[in-house]
Amino acid sequence: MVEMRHISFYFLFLLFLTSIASAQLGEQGGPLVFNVTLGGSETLNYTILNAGSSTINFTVELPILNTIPNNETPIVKVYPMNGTLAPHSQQVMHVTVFMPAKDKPGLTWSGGYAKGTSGIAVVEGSPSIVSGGMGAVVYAAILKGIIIKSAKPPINILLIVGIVLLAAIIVAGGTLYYYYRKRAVAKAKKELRAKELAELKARARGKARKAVKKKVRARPKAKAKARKAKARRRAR
Amino acid sequence: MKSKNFNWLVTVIVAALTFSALLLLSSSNVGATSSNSTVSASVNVPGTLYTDISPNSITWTNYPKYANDTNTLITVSDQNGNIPGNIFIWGTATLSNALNGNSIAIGNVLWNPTALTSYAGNAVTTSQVDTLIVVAAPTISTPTTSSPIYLGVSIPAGTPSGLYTGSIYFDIENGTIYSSQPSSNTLSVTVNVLSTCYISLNATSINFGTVLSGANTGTTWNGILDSDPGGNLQATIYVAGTNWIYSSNTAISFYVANTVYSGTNTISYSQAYPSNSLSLYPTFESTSLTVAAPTQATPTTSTKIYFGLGVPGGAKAGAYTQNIIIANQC
Repeated sequence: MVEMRHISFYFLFLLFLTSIASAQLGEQGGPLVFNVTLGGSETLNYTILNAGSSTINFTVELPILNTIPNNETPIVKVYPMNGTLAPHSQQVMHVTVFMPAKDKPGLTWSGGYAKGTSGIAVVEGSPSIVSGGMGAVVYAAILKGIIIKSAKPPINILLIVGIVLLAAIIVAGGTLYYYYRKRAVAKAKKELRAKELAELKARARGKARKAVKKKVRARPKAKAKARKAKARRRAR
Repeated sequence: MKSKNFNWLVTVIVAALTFSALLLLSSSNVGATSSNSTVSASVNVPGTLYTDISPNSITWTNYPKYANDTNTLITVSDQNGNIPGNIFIWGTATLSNALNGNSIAIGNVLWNPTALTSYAGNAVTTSQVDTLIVVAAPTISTPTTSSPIYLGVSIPAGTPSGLYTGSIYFDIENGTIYSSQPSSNTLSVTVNVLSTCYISLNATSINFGTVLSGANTGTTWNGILDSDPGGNLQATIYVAGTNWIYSSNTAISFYVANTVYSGTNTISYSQAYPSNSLSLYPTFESTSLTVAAPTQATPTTSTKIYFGLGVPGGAKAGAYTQNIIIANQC
């Protein structure tokens, strides 16, 4: 039988046991700040803690971010989404943000810093049962504020090199084409000129030949003419 | 007739005579010490100890209320000594942070002869302590001998974030023979305390009792103590809740916003509603209430948050339940 004078002691002892056995969920301080390129993703880690002497089962609630008109809200994924934290243990949480490719750069979304938004909630899942009347089960949680900024994709050196290479090929190709075309035209012109020259020469040669022939043909006539003139003179 | 000058010849002869005289003198000196004799040599080699440690610096990183297991290896060596000795250990009074003016007492650093998967062992003190860990006597064939010693650290609750530095010293001793330190016997210790906040609630349920349909809890408030037992950052309290669900029929409910929060219990329900209504989980509402950053002097800080309830008119008679989530953000 418990003596009445010991009740206060037992109560205090029970209070002490309750206090040392209470769960103590914690988290690494400070917000998670993401700087994600359009169409890309980024992963950051943070640690949740159980500094108490009892096990904590936890579930994760994804953050609620503000919305920006005409832009898609980035997608946030957290791993693990639930688990168990042994007494005096730690758990690294991996948070990955996927940035829509069509969003504008330089935009900022946040969770946990503006009305209607929330950070990543790690909720301690050990509810007690409320019996009778209007009852509420109270859960402890820790919130991790999140800030996400959209950034232009970094300059792709390979792409630039590719473009420069392509431009160089086009310019070189164009130059070569122009050079060979010019050369071909010049050659054709030269050939044409040579042909024309040959024709002219041939023509000239033909004319000369004709003149010679004419001369040759004209020679007997002249002789005959001279003979006739001589004969006429003799006849006189 | 011209006479010949022989001065040059006289000079050469005088020089030759002088050189010969000197040569004779020096040869006579050499001759004085060239006798044979025996030299007896002796040396007294005393018992000697040297102390070297490896590594010379370590860094521990952790959160307040957390400890690094006693498994950080320090090798204590005697190089070129010739007698065995015990390892002695002591340290500076504190590991200090000059920026924030706080410190961690050296007693939070523990040592142990073997590696442990827990934080346990013997506290380092400012006075020399014989660990009874023996470092064997070096020999000519084994001129260096060593023994391990393991260290761990615990970060007290409420220690502000930052780097805390101090020194731990080692010495190998044998009775009255202390070691010479040809290089270093000082271990530079750094503890990197990370920022954190914790949450601990003193109650996990609220019973609002009986509330009439169309009435509210008025000036009767149910408080929940939100505590940070040992972190080092101030936290802001956020709240969220689920709708009130009828106990025997989950299809019957009334809205979460009928529950209100308050930082004080001196106002009435109508003063808190609807500005301090709970939002539907998982959207959390900032209460603007904060839990102060704990310190080493005040390792636990708390703030009480109060809840009240209004039941809408026409609510079906019976028991309703709701989930309230209280969250700390730091």
